[in-house]
Amino acid sequence: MVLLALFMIAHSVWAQNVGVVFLQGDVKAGPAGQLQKLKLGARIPHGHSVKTGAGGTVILTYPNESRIKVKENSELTIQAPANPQEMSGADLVVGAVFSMVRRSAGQSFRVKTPIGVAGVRGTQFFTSHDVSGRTWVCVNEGEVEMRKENGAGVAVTAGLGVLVEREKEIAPPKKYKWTEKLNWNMDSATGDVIDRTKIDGYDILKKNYD
Amino acid sequence: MFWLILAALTTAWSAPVPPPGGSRESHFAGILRATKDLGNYNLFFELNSLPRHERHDTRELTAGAYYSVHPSVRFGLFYRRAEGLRHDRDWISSGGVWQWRETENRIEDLVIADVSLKDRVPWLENWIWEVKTRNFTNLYTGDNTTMVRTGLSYFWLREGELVANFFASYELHFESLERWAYFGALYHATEWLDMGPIGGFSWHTWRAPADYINRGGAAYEVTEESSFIGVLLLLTL
Repeated sequence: MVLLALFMIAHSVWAQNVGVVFLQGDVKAGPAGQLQKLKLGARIPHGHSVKTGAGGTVILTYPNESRIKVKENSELTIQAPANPQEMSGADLVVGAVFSMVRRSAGQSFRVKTPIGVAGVRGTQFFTSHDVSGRTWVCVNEGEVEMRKENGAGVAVTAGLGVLVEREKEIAPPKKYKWTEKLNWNMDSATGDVIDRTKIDGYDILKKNYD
Repeated sequence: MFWLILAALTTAWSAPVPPPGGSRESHFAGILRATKDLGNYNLFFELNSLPRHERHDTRELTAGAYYSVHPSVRFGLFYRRAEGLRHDRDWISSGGVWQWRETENRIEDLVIADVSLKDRVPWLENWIWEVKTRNFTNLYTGDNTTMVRTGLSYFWLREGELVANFFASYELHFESLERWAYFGALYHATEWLDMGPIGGFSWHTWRAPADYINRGGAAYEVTEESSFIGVLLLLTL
């Protein structure tokens, strides 16, 4: 009985953690305000923050095998509640994160930004939030519902993206050229996982007229 | 008496006179460009018709490539075939009359070396500043000249995608004192086509060639100015 209790306690604690399966560059994690350098193989508890610096990338795996890839210059809070009926995911403060969500019966995954929530079951999508208050969501597989805190949801299907701005209605989803360059790979064993896409969509320095 | 009159007329007829300056009417310009990115290389092609001189325009065909060593720095090397150029030494005496040599159909080949710098303007979102320096080696005349161009561009973006670009530039050719000030707008019609109007002003300063001075002429600087408006098409292949 004691062993069973210990196992159940350990399992419930374990279920609140996300694992670090890939790490490169400047990545820190910990309780808010107490961030420390993160190591490969570490586990990050529910409610802890993750912060990447310039050149930093980290891939985290959730108990239900969903994964997120956090781009450089990003900060988020891990949501990995012990209760599998509650939504897991991340609260994105700034920066960008790729999400690859495993379809699990009854369990949803969401990425929340200061101005909206992208919620999904079983799909792959990208979310970013910049310092000017804009949120981008782009879907690679499946469908994502994007919702502002006090507004109706917009369904974003595979291949399309949507821009959410603070004082505006959510723009209709459409195909954005810059999203074609996103690196969706989250398995370092199969190839490069670093994403180098410029988040704000268009690099004016790359356009040449003469 | 007859011989005195004839001598006086002959002397007046051969006296060196500088070319005319002043303003000329506005002309049309047409510029077609095509570019193709290949990694750090950017292939470049341009065909243009520009109003440079009284009575005729010039036409240029330029082809070559840039190499980017940094997002803000690239070097270029180009070949240009030009038709209709005019130089100081084309102010000649023909049959005792000083006039411009007819160069409208004259072909000249040039090699151009280019260094281009550009970057975002720190305090203005979506603005780019640019400085371009070009060295021209004219294989026809043997001249080697330099040009510097500065400019500003504004990129109008909507939902992260380019709508249009607005630009203004000033260009100075050091040896010939040729100057251009122009501005325009390019609408990003499709992923491969930008198009729009271009307009501006040009100033060409003519100086006395050696032959003119050898024939008794005094040194001069005469400036001819003109305005133009036209169309620019850019194909991104």
